[in-house]
Amino acid sequence: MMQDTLMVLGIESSCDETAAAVVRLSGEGVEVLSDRVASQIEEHALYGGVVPEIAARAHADRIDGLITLALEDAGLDVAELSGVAATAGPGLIGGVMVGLSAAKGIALGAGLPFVAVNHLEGHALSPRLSGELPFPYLLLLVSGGHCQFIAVNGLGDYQRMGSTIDDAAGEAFDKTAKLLGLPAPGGPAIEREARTGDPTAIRFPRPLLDRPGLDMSFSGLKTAVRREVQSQDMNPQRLADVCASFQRAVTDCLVEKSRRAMQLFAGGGPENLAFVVAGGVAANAVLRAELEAAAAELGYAFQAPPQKWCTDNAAMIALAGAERLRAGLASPLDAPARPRWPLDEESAAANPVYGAGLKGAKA
Amino acid sequence: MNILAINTVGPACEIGVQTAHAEFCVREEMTRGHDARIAVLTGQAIAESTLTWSELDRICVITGPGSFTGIRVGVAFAHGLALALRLPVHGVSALEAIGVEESENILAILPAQRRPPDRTWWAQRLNDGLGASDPVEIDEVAVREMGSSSAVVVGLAPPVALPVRFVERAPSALAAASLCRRMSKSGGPVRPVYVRPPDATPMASVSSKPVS
Repeated sequence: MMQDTLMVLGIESSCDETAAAVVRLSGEGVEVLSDRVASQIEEHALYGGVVPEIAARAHADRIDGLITLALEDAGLDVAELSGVAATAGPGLIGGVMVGLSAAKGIALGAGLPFVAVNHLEGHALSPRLSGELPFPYLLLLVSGGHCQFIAVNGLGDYQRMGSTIDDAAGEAFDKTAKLLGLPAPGGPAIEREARTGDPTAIRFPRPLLDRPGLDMSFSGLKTAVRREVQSQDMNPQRLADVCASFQRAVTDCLVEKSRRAMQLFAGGGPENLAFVVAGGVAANAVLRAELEAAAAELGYAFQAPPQKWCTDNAAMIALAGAERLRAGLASPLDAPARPRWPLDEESAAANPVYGAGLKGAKA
Repeated sequence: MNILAINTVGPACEIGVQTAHAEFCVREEMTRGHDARIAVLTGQAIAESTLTWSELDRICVITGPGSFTGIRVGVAFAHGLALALRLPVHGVSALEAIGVEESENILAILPAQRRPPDRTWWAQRLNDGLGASDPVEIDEVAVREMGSSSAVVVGLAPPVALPVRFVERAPSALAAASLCRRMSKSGGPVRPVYVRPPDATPMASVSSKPVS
């Protein structure tokens, strides 16, 4: 018999945020009982990017404290939980192992079911944290590590419709900010600068926009920004112009590909079309407004989770774990950490867009 | 006192259970994949000991130095278990976990960097089995120097021409458990012992580089 109410602890440690959260899933919906995130931005600031070994160390120093806090916030004892879920990949493997191992320890010690969660599934389900959103829906996942269009047909039923073939859009934001000497995280810094810049000042390329399909590319755009920056001396106005023009180029790519994706996606029929944007880049106000307008034009309901659930968090991992438990999909305790773990393994294997090789497709 | 001890520091995943009268140990050789096996092996070790989870009194974990990934898995898993069981966690260094009977002036060493010419060792002076100082990473010459002022050197893969007696022995979960038995009650969060700073170079100004 299905349990009426599930209380699941979620743990996330796949990049530079250590996070723990407790979610309650019942017939009445989803409730986030606690949601703790410790960012490592300061630790990595000196290096201009996330250093895997530094990230792994920071996770190991914080994970137990964060889990304790998340349980305290929720007012729950471990024994009152229905299960423990942790990100098992894809991500920086040293960090993933930390959260995964802590979760296994709790599950084993308390005799609780364990769920190894795909981080991308967490993002795919994250809009359901803030309210009801029935399957199926079209998801644009756009973060520092991922950039994909996914048809979310149901729990565990995902179809990758298109993907970046090199870097994620958020990566391009971060690297452009680094190049311009702006502080991390790069996305908000560039958005801020872009407000006083002219988006038409520099004509940056729109990679792959002239080709059919939903695949994207951002590494060439990074190079174009680099060449532009190095071509003449920088001043505040020029910096703002570069930011505005760069943001314009990324937005053009994402909006146009989103239009195409919405035209392709059949979803639950013309009455029930939903377009969801998740991931850190979805916090960009310019991008968000234009995606929302495009969705309205094409008859889609637009949804983006609040910013705290757009970026990496443990509430989405707890929710994915709870939904999996409800469906009877617990994981064995020997589930390994997976640096590469495509959400749509069939499409990734049949048509790896990037990073394929001995270790398999990346995403 | 019943102690569960975790050793993920070397080329194995090893779980020991030590009671007042008996010892059990489950071990699998591996250089990677501790994260996948650790919970299963812990379950096996408890099953072999015929203890129930609630009969455990302490969790002990070898904190390093050693495989960075391995010790993080061990420490995180130990904290998870301890949280669920409401038990204290005790940390034992890899060098202490070699487990010496001799009481005074021992130098414990384990190979760190194994490839010549840059061979190094993790080293720690032990007094009455416990670290008299923090572990360090030292080269061959320094091992001989520290060794010459010691009664005996214990550990693995010593450099040639050690001036004193050498006893070959690897760290083990059960030796760590024995040491943990002697520790004060409190315990608390333990942290991995890396000795080495992370291998990372601070950012240079990228924009000053010429376009290639």
